[in-house]
Amino acid sequence: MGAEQSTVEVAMLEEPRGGGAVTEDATTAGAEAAESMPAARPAWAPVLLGLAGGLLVAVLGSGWAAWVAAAGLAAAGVAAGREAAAAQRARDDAWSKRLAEYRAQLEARSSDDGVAALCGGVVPIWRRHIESTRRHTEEEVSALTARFSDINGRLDGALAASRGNAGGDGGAVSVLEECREELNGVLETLHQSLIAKQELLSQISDLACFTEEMQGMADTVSAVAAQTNLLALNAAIEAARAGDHGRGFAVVADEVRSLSDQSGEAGKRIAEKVATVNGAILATLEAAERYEREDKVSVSGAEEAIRRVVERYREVTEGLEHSADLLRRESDGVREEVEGVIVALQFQDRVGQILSHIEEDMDALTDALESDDPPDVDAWLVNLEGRYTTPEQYINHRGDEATDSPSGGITFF
Amino acid sequence: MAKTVLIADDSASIRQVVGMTLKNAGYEVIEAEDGKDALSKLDGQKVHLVISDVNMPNMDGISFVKELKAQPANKFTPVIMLTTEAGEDKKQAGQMAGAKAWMVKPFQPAQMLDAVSKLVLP
Repeated sequence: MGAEQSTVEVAMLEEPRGGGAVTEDATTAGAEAAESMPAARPAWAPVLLGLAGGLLVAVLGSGWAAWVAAAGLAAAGVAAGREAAAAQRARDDAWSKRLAEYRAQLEARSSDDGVAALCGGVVPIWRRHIESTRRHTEEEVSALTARFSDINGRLDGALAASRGNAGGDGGAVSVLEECREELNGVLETLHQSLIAKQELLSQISDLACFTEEMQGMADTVSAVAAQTNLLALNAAIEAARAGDHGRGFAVVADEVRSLSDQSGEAGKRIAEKVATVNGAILATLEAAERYEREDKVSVSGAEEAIRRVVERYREVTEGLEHSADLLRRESDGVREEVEGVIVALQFQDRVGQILSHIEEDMDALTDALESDDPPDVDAWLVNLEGRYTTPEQYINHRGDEATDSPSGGITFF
Repeated sequence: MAKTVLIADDSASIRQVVGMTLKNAGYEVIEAEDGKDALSKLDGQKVHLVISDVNMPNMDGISFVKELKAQPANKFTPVIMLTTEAGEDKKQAGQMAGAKAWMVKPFQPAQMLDAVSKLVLP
């Protein structure tokens, strides 16, 4: 292309001088012009011839006649010279005009051919550049979209995990509540156990009262035995005083006294056993009361320990929940931003379509440049507009003021 | 069982955006690069919803929807046309072909999910 352009420029420069053209057309035309142009002849030749003739006549001749003839020849020579000069100027003007016309034609032809050749060479290159750019843009935008989609997916996963860890079913807060309920159940069981022990103590205390009554009953038995023994003794005395008639009664009195001795012995043993039992009951009661106090202290300590643990765990989970909530809010914000980016990346589809249409039109232009028939500009523009698919293409086609980026909408049929 | 949605678009980035949006919402997604590829991947099988671009190589969206509706399995499958075109004549062509909705790019994922949930068959 550069070489062709230079040869055209050389032809344009060389042609007016009638030689040195390089291109085929320019060389032929220049040669024709050079051949048809007459050789330059000096306009002063007739004048010199007239003057020379007059001088010769004057030298060879003699008298005034010779001088008149010489003057006449000189005058004729000057007149002939003037005519020749005028004719030469006319021819020069005609050739100058022809050369100017030829130069204009040559320049016009060179200009049209140059633009066509330029377009034929550069348009396919532009088209390839656009196609390459469009392809690279699509690949990179697709990769960006995939990465942002992946980021969004990971954010969703992280948010779900955060919700699961901090709150909701199975979360830290939920586990805390479950632990608190279970520990409260344990404390309640301990309290119930304490109450049961108190009831047992009460029953043991009642037993202690019974042993006192039993001690009294044993004492009563001993007293009855002593009285009976005394009565048996009195009966034996009265039987001895009655002599032989009281002998049988004396035997009965002895037996009664023997029974009263046994009763007194039994009462004594009962009193001893009751005392032993009473001592055991008192010891048991004392031990139970001691255990109860210890249990109360233990339960109270356990309750306090559980309360502290639950409280500390609650503080930790609240902090965790607060952090998780903050993370969720931030993640929601990031996700919204990423979704915004993904939406914005849809520009590639619109740009790709617009560039595709430009590529198609460049192909059509390349075909038109190779055709002998000039393209119909109006039909071309109508065809171009008919292939538009985005609103901004219509706006650009009409040359209207650019508006904001288009936003989508939906129509239900 | 997850609902299946087919997306036909020659733009890989659009397919990814739609795919991401629907997969995150629990849908199964089949991707196709144009109408011909979509018909090949469907192979007469029923899907719950179709999202199709209009301007695609090999087979455009309008022709694809017409052929889709001719399949017994997808005669009543709802279709959303997803395109950069907003002209009424184009919308009418989509409606005549059997589309249920016309969505203009760029779209918001939430907007897409709302439309899909309204149209997808139970």
